[in-house]
Amino acid sequence: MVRSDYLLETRNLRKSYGGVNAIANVDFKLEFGELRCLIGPNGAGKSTFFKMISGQIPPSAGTVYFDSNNITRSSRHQVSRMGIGIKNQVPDVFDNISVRENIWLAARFRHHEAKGAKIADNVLEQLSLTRLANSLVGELAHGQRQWVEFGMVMALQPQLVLLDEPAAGMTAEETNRTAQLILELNKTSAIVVVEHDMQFIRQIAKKVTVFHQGKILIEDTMQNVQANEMVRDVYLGKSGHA
Amino acid sequence: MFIQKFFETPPSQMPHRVWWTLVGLAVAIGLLIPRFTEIDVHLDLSIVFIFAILALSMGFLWGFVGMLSFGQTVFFGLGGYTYAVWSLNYNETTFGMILAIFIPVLAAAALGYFMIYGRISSIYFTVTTLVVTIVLEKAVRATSDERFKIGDVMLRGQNGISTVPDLQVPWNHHETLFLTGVYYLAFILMVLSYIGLRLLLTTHFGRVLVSIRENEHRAEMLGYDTRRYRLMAFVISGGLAGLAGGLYGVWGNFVAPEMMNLSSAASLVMYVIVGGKSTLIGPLVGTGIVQQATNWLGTAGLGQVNLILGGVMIIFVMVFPRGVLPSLGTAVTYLLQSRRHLSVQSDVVGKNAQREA
Repeated sequence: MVRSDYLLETRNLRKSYGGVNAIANVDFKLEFGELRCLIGPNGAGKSTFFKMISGQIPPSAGTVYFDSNNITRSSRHQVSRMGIGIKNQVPDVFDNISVRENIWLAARFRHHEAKGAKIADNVLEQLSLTRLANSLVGELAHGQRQWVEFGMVMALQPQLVLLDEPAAGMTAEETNRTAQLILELNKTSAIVVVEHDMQFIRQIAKKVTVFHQGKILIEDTMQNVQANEMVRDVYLGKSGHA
Repeated sequence: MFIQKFFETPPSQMPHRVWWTLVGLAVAIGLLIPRFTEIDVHLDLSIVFIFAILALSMGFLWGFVGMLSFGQTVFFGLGGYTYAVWSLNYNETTFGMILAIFIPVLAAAALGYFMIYGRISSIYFTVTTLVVTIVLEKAVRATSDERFKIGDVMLRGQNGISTVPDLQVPWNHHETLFLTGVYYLAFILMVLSYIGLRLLLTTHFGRVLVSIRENEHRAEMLGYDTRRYRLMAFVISGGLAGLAGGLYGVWGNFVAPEMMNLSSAASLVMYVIVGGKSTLIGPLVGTGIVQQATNWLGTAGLGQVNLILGGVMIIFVMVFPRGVLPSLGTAVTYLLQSRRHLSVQSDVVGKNAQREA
């Protein structure tokens, strides 16, 4: 066990594909309870980084610590058991079973029958999905399926939530609702959000990490990041305001 | 309405009252049949029940966990041979039947461990199980030599063992089950397996299995060690196939390598496909349909039974892609809805007519 004062910490994390570094020696630190946004242009390595800290792909080198535990080589279910909830970009749900069953399966993992059902009901309520509880997830609209997955992550009651483009493909209204949910969730969990919808980031961002060519370009508040010349050049384009 | 209720309760929930009523009715009919029929009917139906247990073991694994295993015939054969060898050696059958479940369970645990923990993909899982059943069949075929004995029992290669003892009543070794007795036993065990698996699906374990079928990646990200669950399911279905194998030995007093050959493995898939794998009742009904069709084609003197059967299967798969029973369920739901729709329409028409009048 290595001492780490952070909830999540990566040291020299690297991932290379055929000699090209998708992520090059990244040192990343996340405080307990923090809400952090990862942004960067396409190909900056955000998703690769996300998949490594969530245990979905193994890094080429370096280590990931979660709550002082080395989770670099942990399997997906171990990562989840330690208290990390993950939501990928594409809705990753159980299509042919009901909404309630989806959430219940998450809630039931840590809790007994009755408690699991209660948590599932609460989550359904919070997401305003109670009305749809008995529908099959596969029959729902894209945004609703995203929320079902969001609900599964909430039902896990994780210490850290990792969200990969949670607002992808959502309407403006759904995006607003998702932003609220994230802020709500942040009261109990630390959160890392990967996103490139700037409008959305502005709604939730506290501290922002900008990736560029597999490295961390800058880490600062949203305001400072937006004002930063370098960031404008690589990400927002020279014309400025996105 | 009845059939709708039967099909529409999701497997995760306790079956509806209607389900219990229908199952009870089927049990009553099944138990009464021997009183009104001749012995040849008992004999024919017993083997349907035995194959139905085997088909159930495959349908459960395929339809609810998403694992297509051709290896059910491996455990079927192992169960049959285990029963034969034990009961011939010790002249005792109760423990022989228990072993007929237990040995296949061990075999499934070992085989499943390497496949599932080795994380081979589903298509390789299917191919591997198919290869294992063929290899085992060839291996048993190659035991014609007198040297191949287990205890005092010669395996006799492709001739099989044709002196498999009848099943003794556990509390009285001098009394054995014969024909009609085997009918009752096979029927009751089939019903119990069916109800048991149906109830298993309502447990936390069963519900996780279904979630693995839906999206294994997500189930893992919820914290479930899916390999353990899949191995457990494989072992359960292996034990069930072993039970069917033991019963097969009792039924025909005969076990042979054919229990494990390609044709057995393939016809099992047919039972499940024809009945439909999305319900547990599907494989049972499918077994009945295909067995009856095979018998009928055999006696109709058309020759080329397999060819005709194959053609019929292809048509079946194209017309009822989800199997006979789910299609029937959909058809009934559709009919009910269109009738309701019609009555609503006629209501509206009636009201309009009144208004106009």
